Amino acid sequence: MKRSFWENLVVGAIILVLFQTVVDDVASLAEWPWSIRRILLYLGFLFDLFFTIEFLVRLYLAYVNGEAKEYFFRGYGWIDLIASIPLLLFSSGPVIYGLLAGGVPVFGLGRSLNLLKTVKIVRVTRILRVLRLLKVVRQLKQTNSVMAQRHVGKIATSVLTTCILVFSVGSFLLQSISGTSFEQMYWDSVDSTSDALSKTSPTDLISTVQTVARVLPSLLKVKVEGKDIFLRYDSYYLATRFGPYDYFYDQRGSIELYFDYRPLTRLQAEQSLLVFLIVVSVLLVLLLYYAPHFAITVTDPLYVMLKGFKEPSYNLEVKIPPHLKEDEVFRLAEQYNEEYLPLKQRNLSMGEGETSDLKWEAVSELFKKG
Amino acid sequence: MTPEVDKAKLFLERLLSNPMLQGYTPLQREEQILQLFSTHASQLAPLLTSAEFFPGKSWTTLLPILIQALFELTDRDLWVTFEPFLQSDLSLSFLSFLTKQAVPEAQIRAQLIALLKDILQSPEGRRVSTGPLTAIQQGGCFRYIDEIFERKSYIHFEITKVQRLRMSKEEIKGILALTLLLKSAYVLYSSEGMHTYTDRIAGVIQGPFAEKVIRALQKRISLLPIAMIESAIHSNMSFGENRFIEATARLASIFASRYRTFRAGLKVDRGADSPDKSWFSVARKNHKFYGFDLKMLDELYMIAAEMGW
Repeated sequence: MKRSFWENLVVGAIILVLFQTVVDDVASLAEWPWSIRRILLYLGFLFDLFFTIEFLVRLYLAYVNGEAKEYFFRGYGWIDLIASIPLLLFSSGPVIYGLLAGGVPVFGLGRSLNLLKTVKIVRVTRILRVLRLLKVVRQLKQTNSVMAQRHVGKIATSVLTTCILVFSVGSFLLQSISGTSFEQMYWDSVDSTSDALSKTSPTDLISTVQTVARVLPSLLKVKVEGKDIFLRYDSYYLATRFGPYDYFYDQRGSIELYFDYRPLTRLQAEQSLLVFLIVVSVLLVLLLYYAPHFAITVTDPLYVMLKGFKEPSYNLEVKIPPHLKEDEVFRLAEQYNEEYLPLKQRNLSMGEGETSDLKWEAVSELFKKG
Repeated sequence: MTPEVDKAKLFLERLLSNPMLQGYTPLQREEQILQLFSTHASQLAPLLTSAEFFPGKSWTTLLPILIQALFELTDRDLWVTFEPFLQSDLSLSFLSFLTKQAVPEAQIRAQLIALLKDILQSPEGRRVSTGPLTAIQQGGCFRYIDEIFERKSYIHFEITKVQRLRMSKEEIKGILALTLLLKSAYVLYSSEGMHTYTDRIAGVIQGPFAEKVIRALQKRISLLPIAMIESAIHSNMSFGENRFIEATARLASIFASRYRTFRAGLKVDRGADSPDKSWFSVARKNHKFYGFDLKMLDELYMIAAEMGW
């Protein structure tokens, strides 16, 4: 079936957004300059907006046609939903909002329980972008068989959605209950540093800050009463390499502390890339190995038999691989080969059930054209 | 030629160019169209007898016109192949082996052309000639002779030792072609009413009738060795009931049946066996019904399986 312009546009956008997601993660891992990463963030937002609009339009059109339920549950509308609106609301939306609000550091703005939860959700929901691969899967035509396409699509959808959701929710829950995670250690070090420096006497503050900075690479900058007393990098480096969400800001009395947030970003980028690789690998295995296997062992023999039942002159036998001859499908095929085809041939020879290969629909076309 | 036949030809030309008929020989296409007339008469009749096509005609008066036009179109296409085949392409070098003397090839060729034209005069003759002539025209059966000579197994033994045709495989191909060509000649001597679909079964004629046909044909194509006529007419008899029939007759019987529904360039669906292998496999199970030689079918099946035909 020929795809519409809209479908082609959506598939193109999915491929691009997946590319953007991978590049975004690589950019975090390789600590690319902020100017490049900012462009990637804007692109991510535009894609999320595009897919949110696409989902709402599809849902509206389905609703108008009275097929909303069909679209949502059988037409993979639920994938469209969780791969669009949550991303816009919890991932790219807040980030872009922060950037548009004059570079207000959404993450560096301050520390509160709600903000930390948002930070985690934002990172975790990014993984949902990988779900969009499933939208490409349903566009793929692995075989001519509707059954094989639906079967492989069902397996791909259930396996990959489970993988992604288990990873997303699982990692969130595990981090919440575990006290020894890298993230917990990071926040513990931030807390203890802030506490220690806030209790240090002003005379010992500079030497204490320098001691702490040697053992805590994430300490970026310390300010007392608006004056810098420690700077790990020069201003140019900070301006070009750090974005608003690359650092964490804490204030204890007159002391202002800035911590490098990028180690946590890198960890999450690693996890995100790993999930992406797992999803792509599973998908490739399903498409290149399982789909042909399903076709050979199930739909191909069924197709041959169906054609043999329908078309009087079709008399090809089903090929039965010796190692699969005990499968129910091939046992049926054996009956077809051994009993049905010879009987059909005999009937045809006696002039029974003989029809022309010319379909009446094709013949009637001649009359329509005059 | 009447204007109605011309008009019918225009309509039929469009029908014959339908992609569904691609890969069929002229006689096979003719059979398909006749089948269409038969199964869709109730739909075709009101359309074709309308003012736009053949006004004032009834279906019963129009059908003979359509059939005549169809036969003329088929003959036009058929003789494009068979005229040069009978006049020069068919090698008759084996005839001198059979007669042990020189034969007037040109006269034989003329007699064969005249005979085939006579056979194709009647609808029955055309119908029973579809399989044998398609086998010759498509030529696929001749590649089996190459393999038979390569393997030197049952069929080779039957041809060379039992039938004593100790000649090259090219000459055997010639004998097979001529056997197929003359196979349906029995219709010239059969009485009205005996024609049923049983022509597709090898045992369509019995011994006494076969002998009568052979004698009649011997008079008609007097220059042709009797062994050749016997091979052709015996190919319509059941091997189950007549174990003496020649190997070439048995082969012609099988190939005529196989090529009746053969379609060149047929796309083999994934999951299906190849066309020849499938056909021989089904024929093995039906060998008693068709009167085929099971051992020959076994060998042909093995060849088809190994060659992927």
